[in-house]
Amino acid sequence: MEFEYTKKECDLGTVFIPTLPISFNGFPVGHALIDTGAEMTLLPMEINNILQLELDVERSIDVGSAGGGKFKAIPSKKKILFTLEHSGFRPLSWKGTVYFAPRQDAILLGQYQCLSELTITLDAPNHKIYVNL
Amino acid sequence: MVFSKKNAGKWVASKSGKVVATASKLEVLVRKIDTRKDKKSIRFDKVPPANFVGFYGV
Repeated sequence: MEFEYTKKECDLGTVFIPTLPISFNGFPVGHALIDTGAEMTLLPMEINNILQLELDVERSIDVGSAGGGKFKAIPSKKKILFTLEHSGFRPLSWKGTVYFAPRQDAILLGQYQCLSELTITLDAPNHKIYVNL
Repeated sequence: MVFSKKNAGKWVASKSGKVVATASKLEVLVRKIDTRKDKKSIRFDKVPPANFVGFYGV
């Protein structure tokens, strides 16, 4: 499967960031950030208001942001279905745990049970992403 | 689709790369989209802040 980077405006001007269209238990996200340095997949808690997953508060973990702040991330009790779709290709699906945080600013795909399942090639100069399961 | 400064921090709904609706709360946006005939082809995003970096587990 081949995907395009997403154009993003910031104070540096326009940058291109690697994202994927992915569904979490069928909830369709258009541009989830491929965060290769993140250990887990982290979603805004608002998404769980839609998904209504049971969360495992006892397994919450402390997470540090790159700027030095810390917050709690709460995992889903059961693994959820990740689905990557692209027209002309058979969907790629797998199961994994996602984490939620109340004030999460972005939808981030991390290594644990998510990016670790995929073979991803980032062609940054050409803004292309190639994915295989 | 562009993650624009204008939409930073908002939830956006898009179709074929074009933003079709925005809202500050996801549930409001989902309700807006639920009335559309083409709702199955809509995808949702939270636009990150204008200047953004990731996180790590500790």
